[in-house]
Amino acid sequence: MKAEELTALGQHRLAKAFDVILLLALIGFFTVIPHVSRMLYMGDWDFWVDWKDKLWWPIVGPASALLVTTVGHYLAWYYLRLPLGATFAAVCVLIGAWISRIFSFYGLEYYPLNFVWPATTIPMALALDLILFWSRSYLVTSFVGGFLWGFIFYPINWLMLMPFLQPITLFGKTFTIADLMGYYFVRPQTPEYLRRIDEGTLQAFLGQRIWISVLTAGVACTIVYWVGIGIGKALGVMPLNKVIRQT
Amino acid sequence: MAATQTSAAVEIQVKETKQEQTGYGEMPFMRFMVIGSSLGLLSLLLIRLWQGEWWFPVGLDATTPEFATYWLGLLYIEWVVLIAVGVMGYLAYRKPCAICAAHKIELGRIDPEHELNHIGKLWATVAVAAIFGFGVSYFAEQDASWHQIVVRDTAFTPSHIPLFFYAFPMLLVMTAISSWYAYNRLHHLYVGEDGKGIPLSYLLFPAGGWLLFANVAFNELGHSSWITEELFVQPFHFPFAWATYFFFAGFALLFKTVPHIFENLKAMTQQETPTSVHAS
Amino acid sequence: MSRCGKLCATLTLALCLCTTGVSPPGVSRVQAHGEHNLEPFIRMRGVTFFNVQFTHDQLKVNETMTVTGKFRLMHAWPRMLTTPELSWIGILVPGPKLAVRERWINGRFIQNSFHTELGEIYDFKMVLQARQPGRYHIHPLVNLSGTGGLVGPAKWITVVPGDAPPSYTVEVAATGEIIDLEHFGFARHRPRTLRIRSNS
Repeated sequence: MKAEELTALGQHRLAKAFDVILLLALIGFFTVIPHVSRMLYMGDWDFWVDWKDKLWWPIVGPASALLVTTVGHYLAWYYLRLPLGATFAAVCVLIGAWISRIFSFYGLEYYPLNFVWPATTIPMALALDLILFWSRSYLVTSFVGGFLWGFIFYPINWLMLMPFLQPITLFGKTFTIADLMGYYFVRPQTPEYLRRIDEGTLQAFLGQRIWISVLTAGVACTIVYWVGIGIGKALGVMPLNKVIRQT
Repeated sequence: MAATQTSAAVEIQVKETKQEQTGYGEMPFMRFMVIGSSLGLLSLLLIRLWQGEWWFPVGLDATTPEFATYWLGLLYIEWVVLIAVGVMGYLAYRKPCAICAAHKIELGRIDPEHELNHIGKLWATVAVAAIFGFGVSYFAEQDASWHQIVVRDTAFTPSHIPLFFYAFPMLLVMTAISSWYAYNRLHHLYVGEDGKGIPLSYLLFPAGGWLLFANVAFNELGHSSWITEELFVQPFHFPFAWATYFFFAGFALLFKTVPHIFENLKAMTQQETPTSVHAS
Repeated sequence: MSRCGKLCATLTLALCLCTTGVSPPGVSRVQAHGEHNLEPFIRMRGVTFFNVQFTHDQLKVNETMTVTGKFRLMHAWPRMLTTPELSWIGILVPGPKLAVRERWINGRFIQNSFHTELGEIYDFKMVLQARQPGRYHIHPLVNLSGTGGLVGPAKWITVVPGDAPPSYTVEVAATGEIIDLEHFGFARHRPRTLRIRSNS
């Protein structure tokens, strides 16, 4: 069929009904898959503001958020030639996360929302889609977009995190505001020693260590991008024409 | 023999008449989607309201009789709904469509509008499954907040009851119904007219729901034996995330039908005359 | 399918009706949590609490109370459990309905996890602040690395509404700004409670 013919058919009432159904299915599955993936790989870093550190969160956060977002990015481009998949997945997952924070963490447990806000990935998702749109190449997107994803995750979320890193002195000990929130809004089953924050020897690099972390995140995301494409290919595209023959 | 043929012809005639009246022969797919997704969403909403009411008063201690009344009661209702939906889905689509068969005999091909309704119905089942995906997304993170506040004392906590024993199996049931529908109504689109073979997407799509549900057993075993701390990001939980990746096979299941949607739409537009308002 | 639809509708209606049920007699709106299923050997041979005292049993929102006591890590530590090295104290409460302002171990204010050894006795003190009205079952809690949280004796605490919404104000060291942890960062949507310290 020619493009004009397809466009004309797309105006049909039933074609629009199919659009609506597809949108609903996409919203549902692109909320659950990236959200479950994200909460299990970076969960505690994403739940609590005092877990958002300079060493692990900038690496684990973007890498785990990218994994399934890339699948959306890849499938939208493969099937629909739309450079919107990553942004769509990022928006869905953020809405899903906020619903959960408002109605569970705040609504049921009464943790204040400024303690449990989720990190955003929408700006990086826009960049990823835009780079694929311009370059039309997964290779370029992985090296530029994937790297950028990891590299700017911390700076972008730092805008929200920054106020919580101010120091406070209590009984002669120094806390950040985030630390104090973790101390005050008691989490009975996630004690202080479970926090994976700022551990290790990168302390020796002083002010440079955040740049080392985001650089590592950029490189990690370049690789994770291909893992995401692999998952998309193996589970979203490969079964399209594979038939198990009955003997 | 002749009598049988006559009765078969009458039956076909009756079905054709019905098909002409409705254009579809089954429930129109948009209506199915609206009803199905509203009921799904309503069930999730009711469970959340129930949690809001009974979470703290009777949900924190699994040894009390109130817990059994309120939370295990909810669990049993969920299981009734689950089994009912599963059985209905199985029974409703267990036979190939008689109207399609009649069309093939009478016209040599399936009526485009009728086939389009089948495709739409398949898409609608996937959309209804997606509603429960949304439920998984919400209740899974709620579980993280729940485990902060109690000593873990049962596998049937108020957060597990909607997640592990409703949303996960419901995803399994709905995705299995999608595959079952495709197998019994649209199999020719996937494997050609000879009808041999099982497309991989039929299997991989429900596999996600099955793996989620299966991993519940492993998860509870771990938490009852060697995982004593509530660290949500521990690698022990990762298989839940891997299981959800199988839902991407839904893309393969749906997009295989896209060329046929356009073909049927084209055929429908060609059939339509300026005086006919029936199809649109 | 219409029959299926009707059946679905009926089931959902049944669920609706069930959910609208009112509280039956005998169900008190109290908030205990699953400590009953902690196995006895963990209570007897794990951590033993003694001299636990609560200063209040009723509080207004924003009022504080103190929990004091001692706990001992028993020598007969169960072989199934990891021998703890790092520990942390807190309270077991259904959500931060009461928050913890201060934690003290052996007379020292603690900010981070502390080292524990089997056979030792630790003296603890915690200052709690009420945040949300309700009736709660509060336990002192010791988290032990590799083992999880073990709870001590509990008390029912009633929190009644106070004069003001919950708030915990602290002073930022660098700027002297007074902030409220309850809504810090959401200042655009709530009245700001900022005060700049005068230089005098």
